[in-house]
Amino acid sequence: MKTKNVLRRGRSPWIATLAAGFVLMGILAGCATQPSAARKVNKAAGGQVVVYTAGPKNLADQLARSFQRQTGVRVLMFQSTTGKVLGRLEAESAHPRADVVILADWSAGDYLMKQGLTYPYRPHQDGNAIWRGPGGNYVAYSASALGITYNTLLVKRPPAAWSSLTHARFRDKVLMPDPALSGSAVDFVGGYLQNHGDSLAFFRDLKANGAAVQGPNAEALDQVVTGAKSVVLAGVDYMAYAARAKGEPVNIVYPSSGTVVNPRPVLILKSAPDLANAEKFENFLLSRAGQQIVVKDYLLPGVKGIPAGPHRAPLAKIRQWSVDWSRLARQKARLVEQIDSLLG
Amino acid sequence: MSSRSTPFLARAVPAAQTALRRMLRPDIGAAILVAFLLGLPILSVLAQGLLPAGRGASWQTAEIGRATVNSLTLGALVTLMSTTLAVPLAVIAERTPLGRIPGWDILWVIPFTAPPYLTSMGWILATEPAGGYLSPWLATVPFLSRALFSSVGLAWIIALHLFPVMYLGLRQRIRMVGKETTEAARVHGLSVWKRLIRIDAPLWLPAAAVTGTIVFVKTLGEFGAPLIFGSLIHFPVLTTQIYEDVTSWPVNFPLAARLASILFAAGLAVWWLRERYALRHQYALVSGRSGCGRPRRSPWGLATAIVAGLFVLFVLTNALVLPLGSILWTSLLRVPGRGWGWANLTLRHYGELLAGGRAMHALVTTFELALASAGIATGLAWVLACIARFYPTPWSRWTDYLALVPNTVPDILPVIGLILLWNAPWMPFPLYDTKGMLVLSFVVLFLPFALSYLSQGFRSLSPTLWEAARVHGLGRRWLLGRLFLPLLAPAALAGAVTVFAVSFRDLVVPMLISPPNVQLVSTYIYGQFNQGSLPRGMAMACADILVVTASYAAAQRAPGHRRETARPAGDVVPPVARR
Repeated sequence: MKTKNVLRRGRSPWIATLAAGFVLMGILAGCATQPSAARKVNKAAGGQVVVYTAGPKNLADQLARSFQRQTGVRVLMFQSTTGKVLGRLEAESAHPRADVVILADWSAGDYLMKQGLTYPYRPHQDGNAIWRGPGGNYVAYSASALGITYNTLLVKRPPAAWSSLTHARFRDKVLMPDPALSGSAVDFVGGYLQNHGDSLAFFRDLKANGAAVQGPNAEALDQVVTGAKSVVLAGVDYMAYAARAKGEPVNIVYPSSGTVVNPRPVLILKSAPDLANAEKFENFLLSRAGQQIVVKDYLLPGVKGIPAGPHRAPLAKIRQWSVDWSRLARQKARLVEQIDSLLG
Repeated sequence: MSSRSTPFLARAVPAAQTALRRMLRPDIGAAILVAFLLGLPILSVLAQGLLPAGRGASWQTAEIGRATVNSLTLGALVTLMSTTLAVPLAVIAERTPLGRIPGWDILWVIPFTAPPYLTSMGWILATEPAGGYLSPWLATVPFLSRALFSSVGLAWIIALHLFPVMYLGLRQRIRMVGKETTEAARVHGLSVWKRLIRIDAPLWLPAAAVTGTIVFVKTLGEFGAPLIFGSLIHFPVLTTQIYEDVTSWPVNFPLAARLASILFAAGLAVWWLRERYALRHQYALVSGRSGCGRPRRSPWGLATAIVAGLFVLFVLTNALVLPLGSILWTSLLRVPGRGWGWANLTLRHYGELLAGGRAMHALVTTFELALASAGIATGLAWVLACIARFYPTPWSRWTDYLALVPNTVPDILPVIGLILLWNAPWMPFPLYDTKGMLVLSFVVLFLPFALSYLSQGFRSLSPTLWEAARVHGLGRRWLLGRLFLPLLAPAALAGAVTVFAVSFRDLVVPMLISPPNVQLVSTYIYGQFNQGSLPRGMAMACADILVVTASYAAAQRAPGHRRETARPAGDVVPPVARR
């Protein structure tokens, strides 16, 4: 039986050619991927800069594109969250690749400095920077504030204070991003506790009022956009503004008692393979052109004299809590557990 | 000094020469290559995991314990659920006319080809307590919403992905066993239930045990669904814990290695138990089908028809309609929040996908890398299969075993090993953090597909063919070029397409070792799902499922593949379903 099959040649040569072609194509593609990447690098006259960034994707893309256009330096990016960026830096400590690191959490900059990984550098705009780390080790290029994001169709009278969310009119309507998945939610909890004598009473009242935690920031916002919930507690402001600009029925308020404003650090690594390009990139981030992109994505600018733009509240209009960031960083794991067991 | 070293050299040089000559022997060379590509990474994980902790690393026993217990619970739940889905379905397929509907078996392969991280997204979009498409209706049934959004729901999603493995194995077993035994029991007056319990079930059990083991081990290794769904319900399992330990600050490679070793040990233990069981429960059937006299069809009454039909409909809804439907639906929404209504439907997101930019770039990169991996894996498989055929030594046999290891261990184990090895401070080849590293990982992980297709092909070639060729004086080169290449091309092609498909849909490798600036389809979808545009991510998900399912279907239908290489009698699970 089998022999018969075998002797009947039929389409076999065609198939063989096809298979061989497939194999060859694959091998060629495999060989081609590397050199082509290398060629692209060489094509950019200014060389390249490797940036590890946590934060909004669009912003990172626009910054990279604009910087590339301005300087001819190619930007290679790894985009993720603050925890993942720090993790990657640690995992790659034997073969460091990154030049510039952009984080979404002020305390993370401090952490890298204390690890002795940062390269002190004072960018041209250093004197005008609003938030500066010690010794030029890191500097904020932007910042975001937390507030109460609400659905404008469902909430006619926006809540004026955090404690408003424990009122009966917000029963079962409050959602907080899951601190296990959202760094800003941890910042909020930590900042709140530091400014309220470490009392969990507010979060217990929230629980009693039917508040829930669910998902990362974007998902919490989605629930309010869809109307499944009415407000996001500790919503990230630039995301709310971006959604509003798209025509979604949302807005954000900053409670008058104060809130967390988290500056976003940029820093150069001591191990940077290309220090010159790294310095160029940091300068670009703080330059007028870089800050315009930051503002266009609804973040707070990091440089004095750059207006926050007509579509969002300026820093002066937001009352800030004073936050001990390094203490908050130490407490993180415990805070996540506390809140998740309380509200989850 | 030199007088002392000369005799040593005099002895060492010839010894080195012999060693070199040995290495040039193809079978030993292949063994060394595979040991380097696969054996060394796995060994480095086990070494890191089992050696005592260095430099005061903390072991966090609570985390290890919780992840292990969660993984095992999940495995048990999924196996149970897959069994309850697969057994009735296999019986329906074999014993009722429903199974003869054209395309029936292909239909059940689709849930298996759609990656579980995507079906998880579909389920989340449809059922999450706040804002799911179905949550208003789910809320009317007490406990349902809560149950779906828990570990039970996670197990359900994974079971709906894995049950086809069990179904295919069981269906074949039921067909093989035939109905003669049941028929005899019926003639002797046993009731339907007695027949099922005393005659049928014991005969089907071996297949259920094999496939159940596969389902259990695959659940242990499942990464995508626990990552997407498990993080929402705070249900860390071994794989996701490993991922956190490797990628998130503070990074803890020794802990990840230890968790991976636990995963490895659990998998081995289950396989070992199964082997023990198989040795004790072997039923030799006196004969296969009798062939003479068609056995009476079981009664196809109205009640049976309705129950069977409803069950099939239920499984179809859960496995296909619901998750894939909500993905498709989301991809068509103009604004995700606005919900139902014609005004809110658009094809814009597909347009954006095709228009270029980040999404198209990810798609093209994934194509390139998957294609490269398929080509290299197939080439390597050819070499290994030929060496196994022409040099049937213990070396080549061990090489074969080793190369098939990724089939039985969770993907994340070799991946962690590859990271440990290629990112080591002493590693001279700068492959880590390049696209080449992705290709290498795909090749190592998915080589078993290419290899099992090819070596099954080789095995199915009749020895008389080979002897006839030798008698006619064909040399090895001619044998290869004129005989094996054309005959085995379909098998090779099927293997290559399968490697392409599984590389294309993979999430583990890109999540763990993507270099900067490289985004693949899966990481793109993950990024868009987590913080980005849901519809854009889901449009990409639809493209992904389309490409992968089409490739699978192509591999299944590769010309001549079914006839010559697929499913030899002893093999319960088709090679495609092994993963």
